[in-house]
Amino acid sequence: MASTFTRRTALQRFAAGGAGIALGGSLLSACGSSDDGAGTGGGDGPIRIGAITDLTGAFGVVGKANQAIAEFTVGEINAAGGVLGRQLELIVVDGASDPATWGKVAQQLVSRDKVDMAIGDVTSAEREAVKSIIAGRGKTLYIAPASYEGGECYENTWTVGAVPNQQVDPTVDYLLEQGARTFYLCGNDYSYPRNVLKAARARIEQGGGEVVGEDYIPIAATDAPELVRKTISSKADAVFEVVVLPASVPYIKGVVDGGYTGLIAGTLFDETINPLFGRQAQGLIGAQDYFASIDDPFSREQVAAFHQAYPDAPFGSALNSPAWYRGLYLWKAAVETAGSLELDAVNEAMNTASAEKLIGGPSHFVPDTKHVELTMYLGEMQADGSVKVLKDLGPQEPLGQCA
Amino acid sequence: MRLTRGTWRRPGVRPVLAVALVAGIVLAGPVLDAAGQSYWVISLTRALLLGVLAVSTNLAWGVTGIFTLGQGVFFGLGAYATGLLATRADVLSLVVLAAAALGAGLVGGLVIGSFLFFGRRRVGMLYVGLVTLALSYAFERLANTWDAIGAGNGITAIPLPTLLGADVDPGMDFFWVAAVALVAVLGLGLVVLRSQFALVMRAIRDDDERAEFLGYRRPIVQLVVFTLTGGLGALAGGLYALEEGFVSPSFLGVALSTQVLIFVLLGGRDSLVGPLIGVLVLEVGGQRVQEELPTEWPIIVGAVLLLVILFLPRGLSELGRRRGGRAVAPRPEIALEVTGGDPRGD
Repeated sequence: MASTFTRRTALQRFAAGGAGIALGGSLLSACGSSDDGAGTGGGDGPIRIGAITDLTGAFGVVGKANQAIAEFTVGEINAAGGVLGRQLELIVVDGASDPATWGKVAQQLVSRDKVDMAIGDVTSAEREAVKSIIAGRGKTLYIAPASYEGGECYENTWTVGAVPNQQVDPTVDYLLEQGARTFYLCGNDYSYPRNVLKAARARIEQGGGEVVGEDYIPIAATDAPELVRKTISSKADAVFEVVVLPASVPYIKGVVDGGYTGLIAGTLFDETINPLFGRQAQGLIGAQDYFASIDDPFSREQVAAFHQAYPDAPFGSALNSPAWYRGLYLWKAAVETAGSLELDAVNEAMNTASAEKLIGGPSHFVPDTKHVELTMYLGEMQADGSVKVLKDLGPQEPLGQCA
Repeated sequence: MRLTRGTWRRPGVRPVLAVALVAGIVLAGPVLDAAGQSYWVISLTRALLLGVLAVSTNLAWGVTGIFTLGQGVFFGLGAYATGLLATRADVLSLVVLAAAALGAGLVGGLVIGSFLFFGRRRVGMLYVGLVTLALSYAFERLANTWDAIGAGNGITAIPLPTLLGADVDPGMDFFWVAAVALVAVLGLGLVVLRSQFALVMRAIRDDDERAEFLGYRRPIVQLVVFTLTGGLGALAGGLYALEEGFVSPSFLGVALSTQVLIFVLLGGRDSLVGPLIGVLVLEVGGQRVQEELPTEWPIIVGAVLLLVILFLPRGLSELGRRRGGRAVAPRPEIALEVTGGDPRGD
């Protein structure tokens, strides 16, 4: 996947290099000019939005996609008159795929750039690293768009990505409907896969299925030969897997080529990830809050406009693109209800914020859960990387969050 | 070969410059704060704490020649100690937390050092480097997978510590805490470097066999230094965790352990304030460049480091070196033949 962007990235970097040298020259003067009075609540200058993601490092591809959708969404909101009559100013910072760096740049957003709101996370470790800096000590509203394991209920923090039950339950139900009775579960050994598989196990057992094995590989594994062997020898009717990149590629290829004949389901498949699996992507099952092939005119129109504006940026559920769009619009709705940027008022409005026109379908915060109801879709991956939508699952509520 | 008296000089920056540097940093905090530059105050606070780590690393590597790639382990040990105490045991007293971090590092240094230096065979610095590197890696992996200490998510939402009954707030409060820690560690470093013990430390660095032959217990000296620097590194990490409000497994990994060596190399080995200069140049001075050119930043650091090694082998601190004498310390064979002079120079 990364190779698609390298040339463009190289060109951008080259251009940025020229600007950077000039900036380097003005290092000392930068020291004395960072506060120019804008931001923080009142006034009629632009509202400052801090976007924090991984532009470099292991998750650089996700970050590039996040930056593009953030710019696209803010541009769209500004073109329509901004929020409370004020324009939005987007400040993007790079966490370099390292939680310690996230802490640093989050601090920068809060205390130097004095943003009115911050959005962005790729991994849970990154969200955990910045939440107290932004939302706790920083007293700034923070929106976390990544789909994750659930359970984030920190003050001033709102998550707009899918939690396990929203993806897992409909997927498991489909596998059971298809006649699967025995299941094999596997993933990487950290909180997200473990919680997803916990949700999967519960749903399987509730539906009368049986889990015949559950195995984990280390978080940074690059290959998964034991999992491939165990999956095939489990002879289960279906496998539910949360093996993450880069090990997911040899895992899927190994299982398919090794002659496993059952159904393969997971939470991490979509158009942006499928091409990595090659033709072995055929038949993989998963639920997401958006697929490129869903039958929703608004989504199609918006994503087409996005691709036109950012021809080299990918857009996909696995990159949290729809969630960034959703997060910014839900925040806009809340601020407009509150009538101000005052933190308590916006928090109160966030609790019931909703938006109709969103990529993937309408969404709203389920009161007192700090999580959103999402329209979900069940998809079957195709050999060419595209997704065949099997079912429009309708609105799926987040369960057991912050109650 | 005979050298005349006064040729040997104590390495490092001229005291007046060193004092001016430290005073300048300490004064920069309130000045920046008064100017409303709260972000730069926080940046400087971080640099001061990394400075504590760098100064301590220099005592082990620059002065004693213990090539450690494990200072990040101690930093992380301190960070996890304060993080866990503050979040799990509701210990919020800054004094207690700092003492706990220091203690964790001292104990950690003593334990690791005992294994490192009391082997049956004499230990080469390559061995020390490899073992400490492996430890950095192992601790990072452990922290990343151990659920009880937060695994990959680390320890988050650490509450603010208290001092004399009041919260230590982000911003100037933490700046003063960091400044006091740095000045205290520099003071301790000064006492150590002016002592006879520092001569033994340097002797072991330059020729450990000969030092042993003269009757110095090499493993004991190395263990004492390693333990002390472990404690100071952990103190830095403990305060850093409280300042940031979170601990990440990457706090105790290979990246930080090597980064701190770069600080020392750039600023100047065997100079008390040299490593601090390295931290300031890279962390505060280079911040803007790092933001604008995140991908190129490591290349820039590498190039600068190469130039410094080629042209200023004793680091940037050589620019403010003491007058008289040569830039490079005499080789030990020569030093031992110096007669009649006080080898401590000046």
